Amino acid sequence: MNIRTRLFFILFLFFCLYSFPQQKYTLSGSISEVASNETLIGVTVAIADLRTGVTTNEYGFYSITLPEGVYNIHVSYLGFQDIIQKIELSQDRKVNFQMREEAEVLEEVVVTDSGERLDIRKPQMSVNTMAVETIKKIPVILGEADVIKSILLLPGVTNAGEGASGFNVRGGSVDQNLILLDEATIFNSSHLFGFFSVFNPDAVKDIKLYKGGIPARYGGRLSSVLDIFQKEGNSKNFKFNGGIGAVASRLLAEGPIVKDKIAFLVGGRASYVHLFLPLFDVDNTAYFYDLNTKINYKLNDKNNIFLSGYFGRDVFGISESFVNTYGNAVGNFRWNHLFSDKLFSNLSLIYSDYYYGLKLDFVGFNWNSGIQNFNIKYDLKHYISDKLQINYGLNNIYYQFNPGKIEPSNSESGIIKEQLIQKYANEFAAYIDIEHSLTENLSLGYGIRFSHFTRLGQEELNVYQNDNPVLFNSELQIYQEAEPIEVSTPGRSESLATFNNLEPRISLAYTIDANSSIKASYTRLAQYLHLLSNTNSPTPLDVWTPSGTFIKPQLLDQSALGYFRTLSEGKYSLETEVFYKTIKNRIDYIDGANLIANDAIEQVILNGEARAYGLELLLRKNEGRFQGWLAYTLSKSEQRTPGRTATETGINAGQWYSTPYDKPHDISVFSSYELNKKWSINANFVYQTGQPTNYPIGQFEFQSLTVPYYGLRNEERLPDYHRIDVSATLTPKKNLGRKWQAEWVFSVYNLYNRKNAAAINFNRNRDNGVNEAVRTSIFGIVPAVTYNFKF
Amino acid sequence: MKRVIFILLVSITLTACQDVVDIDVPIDSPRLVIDALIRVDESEADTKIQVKASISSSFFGTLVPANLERITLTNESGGAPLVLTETGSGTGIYQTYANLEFLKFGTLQLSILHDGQSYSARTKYVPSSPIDRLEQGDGTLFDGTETEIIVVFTDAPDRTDFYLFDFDFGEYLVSEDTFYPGQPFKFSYFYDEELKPSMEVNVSILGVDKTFYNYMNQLIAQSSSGDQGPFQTPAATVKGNIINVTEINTAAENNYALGYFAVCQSFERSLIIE
Repeated sequence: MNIRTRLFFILFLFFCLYSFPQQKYTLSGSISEVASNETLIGVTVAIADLRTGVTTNEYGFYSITLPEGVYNIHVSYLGFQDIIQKIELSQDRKVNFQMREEAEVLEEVVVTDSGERLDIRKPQMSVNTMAVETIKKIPVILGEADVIKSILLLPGVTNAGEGASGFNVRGGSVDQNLILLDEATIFNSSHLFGFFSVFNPDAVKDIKLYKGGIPARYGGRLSSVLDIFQKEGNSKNFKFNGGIGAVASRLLAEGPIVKDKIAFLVGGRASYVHLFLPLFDVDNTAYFYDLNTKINYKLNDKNNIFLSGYFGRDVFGISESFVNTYGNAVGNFRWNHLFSDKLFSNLSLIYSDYYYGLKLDFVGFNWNSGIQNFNIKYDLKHYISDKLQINYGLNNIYYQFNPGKIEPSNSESGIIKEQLIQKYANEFAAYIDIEHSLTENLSLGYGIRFSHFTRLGQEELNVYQNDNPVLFNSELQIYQEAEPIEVSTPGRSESLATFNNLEPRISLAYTIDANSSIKASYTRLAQYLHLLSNTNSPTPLDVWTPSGTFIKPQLLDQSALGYFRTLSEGKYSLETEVFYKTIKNRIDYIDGANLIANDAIEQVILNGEARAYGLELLLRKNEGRFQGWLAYTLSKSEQRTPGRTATETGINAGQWYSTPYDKPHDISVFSSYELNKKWSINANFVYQTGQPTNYPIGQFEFQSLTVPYYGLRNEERLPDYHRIDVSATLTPKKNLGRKWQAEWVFSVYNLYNRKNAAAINFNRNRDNGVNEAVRTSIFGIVPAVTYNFKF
Repeated sequence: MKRVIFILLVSITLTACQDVVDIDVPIDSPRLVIDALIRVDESEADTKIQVKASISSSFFGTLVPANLERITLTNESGGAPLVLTETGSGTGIYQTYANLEFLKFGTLQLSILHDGQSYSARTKYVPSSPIDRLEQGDGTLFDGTETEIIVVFTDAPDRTDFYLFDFDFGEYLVSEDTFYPGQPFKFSYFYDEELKPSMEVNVSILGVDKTFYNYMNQLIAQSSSGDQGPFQTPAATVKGNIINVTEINTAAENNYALGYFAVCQSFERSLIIE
């Protein structure tokens, strides 16, 4: 144990031993929506008399311990009517609150809060929450409300261009995002290579994005946590809602199986994309679908059980000779148990897998690959007093990686069936995470996560001279694959490599006055899995690989400092943050590396480093007819892989280069205006510095090929990217007082039809033999109509 | 083969619109380019050794032939060097003839003197496998206008093979035998454009070593129309095996040459498009 970690333990012990002199009682319970019994996350339970309070957790539970007395309890949640109740606390009490949506009571224009109000007192920083209502308002391509496209409008979040999959947080790569759907890890968040995300917004209750200051209960990914909770299902009434859009249609049903006790939710979504991709003729198909299911069983006041599942697939087919299928499948069992009024626990058993399959008949083979994992998680939340909450838990994940299996697709094919060597690993973690109000003005969050990763044995393992799988050819000045000197057969029972990491997390908030605070945080994180991806944006066929003998775990240190302020009594909020992060062991690939079906991936990988820093600004208007935000990010994201010895060049001559998603200036504006009862209007504006790219420094001819050749990586930039999207929502008058509620959403993406360059390619035109720079732009102006309904 | 998967994936992804734009490209200093891919047909007693020397230019510039002071081919196991002579003044094309014995055994060295700088490249003969069958297919891939060619060949047993296919019209493909060792292997190649009836198509299969395989793989990727969009792989200088021996061990920014020297067994078949 080094000094730093020792200090942590001492601090922790100190706070645990802290004793409480006065007679105290616990007020606890759950908070849900009255019409559906859907629990609500993040509801504030404030005790104004003591200037203290608590918020409900992911399962709608709250607990607060206070001195004996009579209190006015103020329960508030965005978009819901406040509840003020006088409660006499002379013994431990259980009080469940049921909240009513404002929309149901007010007959006039509904002006709801946006659901993302700033909490200036909590030490948690670098976090953005987004209500599903907001996601549904944001104009998007083809009108398909999209979780990931929505978070791209937040500061510090970007991606590698239109149609790129995933998202990048604070200069981190796509594989550094931990995406959790009901606590299960989702490995690929994109449908159709990135045009849409895999989350059905109708089934989603709440999303939260941590960009920094990541609490110790999360781990395994460096850059962010996108925590998505699905709805539990209405346990009072049967409800349906759905939509018919330009790309996909959705239908979601929920209702009680046993009233107030057991509820279900089933949601499905399917696309008919092949209809709008005119390139494909009748033979071809391209579609996706996904299915969300959930059962929630309220056993009693102390126990709750949830079963949830997700299944999604993308299918492409080009005649019969090319068929591509991929997607996630997740199954999840959770058990909430209350040990006492103060001690909440959740046990999760999660299975999740990602599958990628390809049939390539014209070269005679089928290909499939994937990753499976089994995850056990036990999390406890201990509400010790109104000043102190301790979260702790254990987590164990067992992984199985299938880098690829090849099979002949027809009898004439010469392909020999072969399974690339499967890899296995286990990741264990234990954490403790403390939220602590030290004084009226100062609150602290601190914790530590211990992670232990074991790369388990596999059937065959390459052994290299001097343990060096990548050779530097000093004559040709290039890196080359080393030939293994032998192949060992360690077998499954052996462990090939183990790694231990202590990951401290600290954050603090200092409240300057009722409206402003300063927050600071430091985070260390370890990531043991790497997505092998050598393209600007990951492709669905990229495979994950565990750390091991040759590939080291990535380690992140991130510090952030922020100033937070609410203005005009909470009407507006301002969040500014600066961050700096460094990443060790960021893998990079030697020039010309082949990652697909490569059974010896260590031969093309070198361990490098990455860093990112920046300034983020978010100005938000939280209430009124006009709502929205302005986000600005100024940042830099780069990586380098120096040579391992003085004579080696390293990758890119060992110099820092911009990552493909480095966009120094990034401005996003979202605004929403409630015109009247019938119409509301939404608009986005996005402006970003052009992505880094390469222009050839010269050309030469070899055989009959005209070859553009390049210098250092990502030295040039594409033209700046900008666009405006608008949408208008029509809620017909006849909705009033009837069961069938409908709305029309008319949207236009890229209103002024800017040809934003997704890439500029340099090649020789085959028809006229002239060298050209060809700009590819993905979406011009795209209008769309969506019809949404619920009953 | 891996490339095929990749290009496919990429092509279907982007159904986007394209236009030609004006770009100011950076300019590297002019470099010597050596195209010395020697194809050996073992049924012939003598092989024509033809090397094309040129000077690189900016991407929108003009390539010009290089005037070499000397170019020779040596077999390091002994014997007199063969001197290549320019086919016509100013063509940059240098030729000589070598017999099989000279090419097949030992290490071959190409030595070049240009502009006062000495360059050298070394390689070894790499065997190939004959094409068993070449026929036209009627399949298409994306837009229905492609021409399908079916190639069948039998991989040589008990040896790791890398192949370079030359499909004529400047279209190349690389393949390795990892998944079809010693097997008859059949695959389809699609020409983007519809080839006209009665056109002759020559297809060659060349044996290459791993380094040249990697080199060609990068060359094909960087020169192909590559609508790779977000799936673009990092582009590189693609240094070959032509080494400047005058400036060896000088700064990293040395006066390196581009191009490659390889001696490959080649089998060719042709087909008349119907």
